[in-house]
Amino acid sequence: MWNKEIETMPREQIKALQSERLVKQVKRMYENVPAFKARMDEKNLKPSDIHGIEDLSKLPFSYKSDLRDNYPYGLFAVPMKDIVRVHASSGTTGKQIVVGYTENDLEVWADAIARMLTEIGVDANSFIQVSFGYGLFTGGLGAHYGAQKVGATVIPMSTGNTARQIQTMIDFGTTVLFSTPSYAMYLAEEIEAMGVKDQLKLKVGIFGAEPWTEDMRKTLEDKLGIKAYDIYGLSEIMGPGVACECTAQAGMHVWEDLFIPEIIDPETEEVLPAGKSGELVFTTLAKEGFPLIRYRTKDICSINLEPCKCGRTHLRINKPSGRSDDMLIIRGVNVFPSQIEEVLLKVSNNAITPNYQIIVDRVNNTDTLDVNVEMSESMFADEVRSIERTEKQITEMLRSTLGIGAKVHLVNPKSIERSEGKAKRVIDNRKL
Amino acid sequence: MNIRQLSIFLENKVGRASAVIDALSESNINISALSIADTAEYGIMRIIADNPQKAKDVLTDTGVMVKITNVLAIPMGHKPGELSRLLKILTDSDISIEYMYAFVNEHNGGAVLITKTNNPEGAIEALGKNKITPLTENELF
Ligand SMILES: [Zn+2]
Repeated sequence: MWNKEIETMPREQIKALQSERLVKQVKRMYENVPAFKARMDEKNLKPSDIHGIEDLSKLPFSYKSDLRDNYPYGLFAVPMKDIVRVHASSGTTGKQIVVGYTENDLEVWADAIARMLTEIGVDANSFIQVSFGYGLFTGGLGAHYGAQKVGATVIPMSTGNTARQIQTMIDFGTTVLFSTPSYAMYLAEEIEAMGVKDQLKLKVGIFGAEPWTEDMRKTLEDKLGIKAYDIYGLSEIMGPGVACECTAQAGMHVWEDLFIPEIIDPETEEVLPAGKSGELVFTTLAKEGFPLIRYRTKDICSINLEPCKCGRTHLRINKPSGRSDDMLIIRGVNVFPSQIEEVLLKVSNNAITPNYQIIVDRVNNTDTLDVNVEMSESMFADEVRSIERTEKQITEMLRSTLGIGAKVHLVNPKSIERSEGKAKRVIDNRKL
Repeated sequence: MNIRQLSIFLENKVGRASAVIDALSESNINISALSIADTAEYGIMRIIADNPQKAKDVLTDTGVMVKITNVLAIPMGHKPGELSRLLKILTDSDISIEYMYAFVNEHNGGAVLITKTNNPEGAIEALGKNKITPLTENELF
């Protein structure tokens, strides 16, 4: 391990460390970030009310809109002379957001990634091709300095020019690839088409910055002859490396000495216990330049407190399965399209997830939920009974997963309307 | 000894069956036999056609779920008693029939029974003992 003392720290000790860091950070932010002080004042809270992590849920949430409202530097907690780098992301809703790092923040970030790399067997002998975009996006430089930290040979490719990417892999003997999963899929297809797989020395792929599925993992592992690992992060909290998979490939460890994750119900804002799906919320504990308290990520996932095979004591989050923006409230129950997707993936034996469409309506003052599912190769057999069985299985699994009933309709392949190649997932016909 | 049959998923929508037939006829694919099994919601259309692979490609392109299934095409005389004789041969050998349908074959003036059983090898053996040989695709068209 990169830092055995921290990575295997007993949970009680982790909590004590978190409490100590949280108290200090709240005080520092209260004194240095006017927007945070205003939020605390609204709640009649003083830093002295916060004694440790047991008081975390008293603290106000922060939102992406706070970053826009205080653009560019309004939320930084140190003078600009101490900020040595900024990153920015534009996101889908217009105005970009800016984040800043002190020299120490960059050290901590590289260290977080070094922990992951060491666990999955990447070291000074590795050749790491960083095919995340370099620039304002946190992916490229984040991965770069983490890779450099473990002493590997870093190949700073950035994105684009696929032929050159592949030639570089062959000529430079790349053993580790950092990229988005979709770009890795594209590279894998090109490598297959060129028939050069056996000239590659790739062993490990680290993929993140966008959602990907277990079947993509299998495809990437097969086509590239690698072990594929998931890395999670968002620039508001740090960048890639906030949570990382270990060799167990069963959830991503969140470095709890650096961050406190919480899962909340996005509607009631109530904190949910381990195992329950909800919105992921992060509090930073070691960031100097741009600390955040209870930041609403809008990513939906759950926390796993089970001890991990790898021996690390830090909790794991499962792969985020959707965005809280996508949440539907049907008959008073929170429903995420991603839950329906999980059911369909199981029904199709983890082959390709069938296309589906969710139709919500209101008939006689009651919400109705219909799910159209495109028939797939793995679901269809030459027996009427098996079609009925498939439909019944989906219906029952949806009921137990969602907690409400849904009417399932099996439909022809490619019959669900698509816009720009992407199926339109949700149609809400309720006039509310 | 098996022949290829197209098994086509029919969703619960008016005009689905004729869309399938139209697509095949536009591609000059000749249908020898057809049957539909359905429930309240869905159906499976089973088709014996002269070019199963082309038919599958054509249908897949039009957005229809289709699989190729192996079935037996058993020749029989076009007269009373023939079908019951065949069924007796199969049931006496403990072969159970998942489904069957029949058509008159214009080539030999006889009829053909299309059937899917739980045990195709056993069925071929039982028929063989009674001097009946299932037809190949070449013999059928
Ligand atoms: Zn682990």
